[in-house]
Amino acid sequence: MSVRRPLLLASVVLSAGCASSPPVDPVPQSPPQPETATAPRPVGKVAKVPGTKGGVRTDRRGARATPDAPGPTIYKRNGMVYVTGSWLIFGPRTPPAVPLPQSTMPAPNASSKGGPPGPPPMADGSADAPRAPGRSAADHGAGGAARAAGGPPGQTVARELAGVPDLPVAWEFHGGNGIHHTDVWVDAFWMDRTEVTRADYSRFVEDSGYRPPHVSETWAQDGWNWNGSTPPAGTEDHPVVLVSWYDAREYCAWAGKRLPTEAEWQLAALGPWGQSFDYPWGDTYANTHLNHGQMAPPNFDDSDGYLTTAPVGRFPSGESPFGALDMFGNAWEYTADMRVDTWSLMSTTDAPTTAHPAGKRQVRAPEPGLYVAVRGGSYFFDLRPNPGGERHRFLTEIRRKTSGFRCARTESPTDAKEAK
Amino acid sequence: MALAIWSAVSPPVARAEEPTDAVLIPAGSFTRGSAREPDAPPQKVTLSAFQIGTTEVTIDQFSAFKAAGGYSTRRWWSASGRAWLEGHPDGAGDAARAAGRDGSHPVVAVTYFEAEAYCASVGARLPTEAEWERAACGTDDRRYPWGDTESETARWYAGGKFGNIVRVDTAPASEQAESLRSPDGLLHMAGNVWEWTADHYHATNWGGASGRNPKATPDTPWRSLRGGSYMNLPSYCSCQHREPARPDRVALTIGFRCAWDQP
Repeated sequence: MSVRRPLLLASVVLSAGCASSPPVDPVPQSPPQPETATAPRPVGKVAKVPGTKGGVRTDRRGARATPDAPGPTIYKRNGMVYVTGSWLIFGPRTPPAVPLPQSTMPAPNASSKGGPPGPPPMADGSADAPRAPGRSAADHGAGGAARAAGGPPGQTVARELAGVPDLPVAWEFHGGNGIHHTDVWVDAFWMDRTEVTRADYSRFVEDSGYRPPHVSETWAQDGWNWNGSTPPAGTEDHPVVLVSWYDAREYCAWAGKRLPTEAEWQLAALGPWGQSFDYPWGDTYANTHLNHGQMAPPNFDDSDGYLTTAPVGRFPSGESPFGALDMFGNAWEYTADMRVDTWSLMSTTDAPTTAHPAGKRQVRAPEPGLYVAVRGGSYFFDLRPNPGGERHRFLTEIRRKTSGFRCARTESPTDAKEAK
Repeated sequence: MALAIWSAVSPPVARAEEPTDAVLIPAGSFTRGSAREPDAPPQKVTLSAFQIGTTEVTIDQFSAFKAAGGYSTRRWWSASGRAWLEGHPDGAGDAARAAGRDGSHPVVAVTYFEAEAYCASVGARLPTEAEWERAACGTDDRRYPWGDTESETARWYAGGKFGNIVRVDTAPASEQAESLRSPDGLLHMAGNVWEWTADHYHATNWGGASGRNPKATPDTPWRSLRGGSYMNLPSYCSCQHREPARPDRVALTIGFRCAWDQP
């Protein structure tokens, strides 16, 4: 952040300081509300939201397509986007044998006054003003609408689960591994708007003395290997690849961030409960919205303009509901989670609470494991057959020319280490 | 029991109940590193004589260490190891190791700190990177312990493609693999499990280490792993490949072997 806008920077710091002084809201997913009061007036442009017409998503699933639910507000700050807390449902497209109990879907942020608040808009030009200053419970889609109307939330959940086309989030499996259907709560967090670039990673290598991306296999010698901390010429704004999961974790730690959990990744990519899509931009596949490959060998495909990686953010039409770019395609993205095939193996250690009666929050697959869950697909395959999120597993130690990542952060990034 | 004897002052490795032992690496000079690797520039170094385990430490050996109070015998632990032990009084990898393997498999899911303490308990220490590389490939410039060519029988990942089912259990340390031995007779220096070394990892200039018995400066958070594992491509298993890892990493692919000073 810059000397170009000293006054605005000062106001940001001030508001961040105010945010930490009041008693901490015990609900962890609650965004930094106090900042709103002291934030400067937004002067940034309103974020463009793909797949919308007049602020309304045009390709929402019919059952939840209510004209007054414009979708999540996009907040950006320091290269990150804000992702509100929400329920997610993982699992195949088959209804569960047993409906969820009535109490498993509380109203997210129901305890906060005035609907789910977001972080304040930033006025330093690096952030855009929110499209909607506040949202009602109805913004959560059918479930939210039912709650707003006083309907029993449990029935809403059961209906959505039973109705095949209404599953908020579902995926087909790469490799045919089945998992159990489950729902989880994801607390609010911040996510890098784009994949980590090679320029970013170069700074990390130079600053930390960490190992540069390099693989001593013949296939990596053709334009992939770095020369010390220098990436292949002309690819500085491409996503860094040839990194292992451990490399990705080291970068995120250096940047004052962490890898997103798999649930966080999916929420950021496909949207919140009741509003989620099969693809980041909507429910209809579009070859122009991502850097993809093709199913048949050689799998590479330059019909999108890029045979392999593309500069990050080159496909703004593929923006996710929260504003993240390239969530599908370009490079596979590491998550923090080990790859397990049954979600019941994942840690759900949080005890049930009033806010989270199911007790399932921020699920994590246990370490150690040989494989880590990666999401989003890459330039190397056609992603059309995997609505709901391409999902695969990578060995934690291996460096591939499709393996990239982006980082997440629980706290607001205003005080993050300046990594970009 | 026997551990008490091992922990007495000096090495010589009279471990009757074990099929394998240590080998003596004579003093001498060699060139470590390779132009193939971004972080291992060729460098001539000189080492004093030392001994190093013929095999990786096994599950049985590590279990004996634990049963003999290894985690509560503070003198075997370094200061940083004791700090780590505060939060992990029972170690880190028991659950991961309980994979139905017999006790002659190499122990895995051990942190650097646990490896360090184990070696201290047998009067040994972890090898330095230079010692490890000398023991693995001798004094010529070979890529693997047996030569420059990849071997079908080496304990690394080969064939098929990524993500397919590969063997999860590691090879028994006692497995006959004569053709894969290092010039000095060591087993599984390439593949099987990664091995902790005593050096901190630096991507450039070997962390200032050079000359006689080089040792990297301790100003990075990473230690160097060597040798690759059963889940890695051959290039990760070459004698010169280096891998940075935080000392508290717990992985199903990481084990170690010990080294002894030669009196």
